[in-house]
This record gives sequence, C-alpha cells and structure tokens, in this order.
Amino acid sequence: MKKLFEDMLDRLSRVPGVRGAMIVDAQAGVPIVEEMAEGVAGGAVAAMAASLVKRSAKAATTAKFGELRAIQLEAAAGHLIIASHRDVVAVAVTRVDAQLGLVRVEMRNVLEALKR
Amino acid sequence: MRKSAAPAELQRWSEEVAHDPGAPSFVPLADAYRRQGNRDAAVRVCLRGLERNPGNVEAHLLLARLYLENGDRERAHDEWGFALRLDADNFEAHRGVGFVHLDRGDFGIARRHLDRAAAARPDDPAVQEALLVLTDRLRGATAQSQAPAEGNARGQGQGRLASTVAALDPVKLFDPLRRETPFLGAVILDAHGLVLAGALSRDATGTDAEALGAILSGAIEEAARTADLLDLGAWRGIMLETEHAQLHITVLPDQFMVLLAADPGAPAGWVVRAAQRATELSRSFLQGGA
Amino acid sequence: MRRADLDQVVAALRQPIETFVGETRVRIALLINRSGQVLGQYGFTRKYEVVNVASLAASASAAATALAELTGSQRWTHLHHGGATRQLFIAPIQTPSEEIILVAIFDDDSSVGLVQLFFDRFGEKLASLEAFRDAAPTSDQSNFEQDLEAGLEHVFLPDQ
Repeated sequence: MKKLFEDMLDRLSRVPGVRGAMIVDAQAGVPIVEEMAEGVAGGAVAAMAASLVKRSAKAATTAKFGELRAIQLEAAAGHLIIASHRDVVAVAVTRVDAQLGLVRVEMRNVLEALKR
Repeated sequence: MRKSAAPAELQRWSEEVAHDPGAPSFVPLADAYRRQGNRDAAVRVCLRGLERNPGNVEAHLLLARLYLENGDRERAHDEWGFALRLDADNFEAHRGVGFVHLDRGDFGIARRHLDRAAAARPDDPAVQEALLVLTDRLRGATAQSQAPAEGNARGQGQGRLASTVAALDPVKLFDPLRRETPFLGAVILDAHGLVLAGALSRDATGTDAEALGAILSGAIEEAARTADLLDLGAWRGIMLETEHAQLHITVLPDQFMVLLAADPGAPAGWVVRAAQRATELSRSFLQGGA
Repeated sequence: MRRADLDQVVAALRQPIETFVGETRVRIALLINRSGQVLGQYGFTRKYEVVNVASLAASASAAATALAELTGSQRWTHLHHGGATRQLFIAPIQTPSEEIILVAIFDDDSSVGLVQLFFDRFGEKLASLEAFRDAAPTSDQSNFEQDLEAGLEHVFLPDQ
C-alpha cells in the first residue's frame, strides 16, 4: 500500500510547478508518506493542512454543506491543494504557475486509491 | 478605499461631532457608522453635519451612497446634484446622475454625465458598461419598428442595463453573474462579518450570508495562517469544495471579503473565474460606490 | 527555582504561554521544572489538579530521561499520549537556568502535529528569555518544599 502511495506522490510531484506532495493523517496532523522538494517543511505542511481541513470540514458541516471534499488555498507565491477523504488527506504544494488542472487530476487519483 | 476606523479614532470623531455637528470629522464618523451597518445613524450624522456645513462635497457623496443603499434613488440623485453644484467635475456625482438618468430613460442627460465621468476616469468599468448600454438603448429607440432580429441585440442591451442598474443597488451587485447556471450567489462581508452588498440564495445554500460568514471565519483565519507559515506569500483566496456547494472566498483590503457560492458540479475554473468577476465588481463598489 | 526568582520568571512566561495556547488551540498548558515546581499555566482552574499533573509529569520526565540514557538514545524530545477524547504532549525545553517541561493537553481542535510545529518556536522563545539568565535552581534541600509551594502561589490567585 505504501509503495502505491509513494508511486502516486512521485507522479504528482512531477507535475510542472509542484514543489511537493504528501499524504497526511488528518487527526494527528503528521505526514504518512511525503515527497517534498528541499526547503519545503513537510511537518509544517502536514500540521497546517490537517488543521485547515478540520476547521473547513467543521464549517461545511455546520452550514449543512455536507462533507468537505477539497480545498484550494490561493496565495501570492503559490497554492496549497488538498483533497480529503475521511481521516486522510492528500496535499500538494505548488508554485503560482503550476498546472492546476493536472494537479487536480493526480490528486483525484490519489483520493481514489485512498478510498479503495 | 477608506480604512476601517480604529476605536480611538471613532471616539475622537464622536467627541468632535458631539461638540460641533459640522466639524469635518462628521464625514468619517458617518462613514464608519455605515461600514458598521448602522445606516440610520450615518444618515443622521450626515444631515446634521450638512446643516452646519452644506459645502462639504464628500458629505453629499456619502449621503447619496447611503440613500442609494436604502433604495431611495431620487434622494441619491438630489445629493449628487448638490455635489455637482459644488464641484462641477466630480466623477462620482456625474456617474451617479448618469446612472439614474439612464435608468429613467433620459438618454441625453445620461450621455452628458456619463461622458464627463468617462473623461475623468476612462478605465472605470461601470461607466464603460453604462455607455455601452446607452448606445444599445439609443440604437433600439431609433429602430423600434425594424425587424424582430434586432430584438436579440436589444435583449443584450437590456441585459447590460440590468447589470448596470444592479450596480446601483447593493443587493443586486452580483446580478450580472446570476445569469450563469452554477452561480448560487455572492456577498461582500466586512471585518465584522456584516453583509455590505450582494445576496445568497437561501434555498440553495440553506443558510443566510451573515451566518455563513461567521461559520467560515475559523477556516478563513486558518487559511491566512497557513499561507503565512508555509511561506506561500499573502493569501488571496480559498476554495472549498463540499458535497452540496462550492465556496470561494477572496480577500480584499481592509479585511473585506467576497464570498461566492456555486453549484457543487461547477468546474473549478469557472468558480475561480466567477470569483474574479465578483471581486472586480466588489472593488468597484468599495472604491466609491457603483 | 528559588522563590526570589519566581516573580520575574512567572511574569515573563505568561505571554509566551498565551501565544502558544492561541497558536496550537490546546486546552491546557503547564510549565514545570524537573522538580515539579510550577512556573506557568493556562487552562487549569483548581490548584490540586495542577499539583497532581505537575508531579506526575515530573515523574514521567524523569522516567523518559532514565529510559533515554538506558537505551542510548541521548535526549528525549517528547512524549505523546493519544487518548479517546483528549491527548497529552510532554516535552523538555532547555533554558539557560534549568530544563523545564511543557505539559499540553488538547482535544480534536488541535493535533500533535500542530503542537509539535509551534512547540519548537515556543522552546526557542523561552530559551531566549532574560528572566532565565538571572534565575538559579534551588540549591538548598531545606528550601525545596517552600520553593515548590511558592511556584503554585505565583501562578494562582489566593482564592483559587
């Protein structure tokens, strides 16, 4: 299973503009598998992505929007793309010029694998 | 765009205006009340200030904006008229008077004022839109008896008029987007979570906009912190995809936010594009009124 | 830590503890030294709870230190206990005066990842506090009990 995730993250991190990708335990806020470029703090990404998912999921439930599926955080120097499935989230850190469509496709693949 | 007032500033302005209702600080004080959603108090402060200081152009413009937000276009028109008597080149007043006359069908007067507004600020999107509508309407008026094929063009003109008029009414600010199927509504929220303009379809989103703003505040706060901690630069927005809706939040200066809701099946690219358009409309609204 | 230094140290720790709690959203944070002397706290309302947690955490810290030495793993970095509803994080912080220990208790609103992330900054902040440069550990066994009690008195108001 771990090998499968590693392969998927490897593919995701090869998408132009992606600086790193990881699968995170959403409850603990720690990485399960990661593939990060140098200079990207994996622990911080995992902790903050999990926290963002928790808070957003709570908001979505309170507002009766149902289950949270994905988050796209847009910032001046890059994006954080998160796909969520139960207690596991897939995270990609990208540059601002990344191929977001392709990133989303690969994220969906990771998510499908998580569901299996 | 005027910054939100600090409590100390508010206190100082209140004291100055209590001492002298016509003191120059009555304008920022009224504007602060308006931003807090207390339009009645804002109108009162403006009216009392203008009794003592009737030559204050900014106060007339603010009062026009307040009347407009209350749905009273006639009084808004009168205030813009006062502003023009005091400052014949005032952009905001020409634009407001032009819009009202366009809405009334007084195309000649509308053209005169909109041209003056366009001369002052050639890039203003609302004025450009209004001039296009005006051209369409004039063409439609001269060819009223012509072939029905032109009805389509007039229909488009009506659509543009609707969007221009929508820009006059805060609740209808985002109506130009409403024609697109996935759009469920959009609002501008201030730093206190109060709705400044726009509307959300309660049926579609199941909650009202102010409650939604409050519910999302935790996620918004976390988004800002995440961007900061991960060195992603200043955060610009966040898109949340949920089972029943897609939400896009864009950050504007002075802690204003644009919240857009879309159908869950809407393509992500459409949501981002619609959010950009909603942001442009919001910026125009916040930079001195539509 | 000597009673004479407590005023300064407890006051200096108040703001960093509040910041840490705000950043991590932990419910309770307690700072003690290796003797179990209380130097700062957030979230406790009763003295006896603090006394119990402080003494148990001091024991846990001593056990972790001994285990680390025994197994040759040098310094211990943190202990984490993931309970059903609440979780516990205990970690040592080196200051110029002595080693102190953080005890953080949190629920679903936080996570061990978040606590770890901000703990590093918190540790750096505490290590740089002026108050610790001048403070000295308790050196006299006869003063030990009184110093221990003084820590509690400093972090709680008299009627608590």
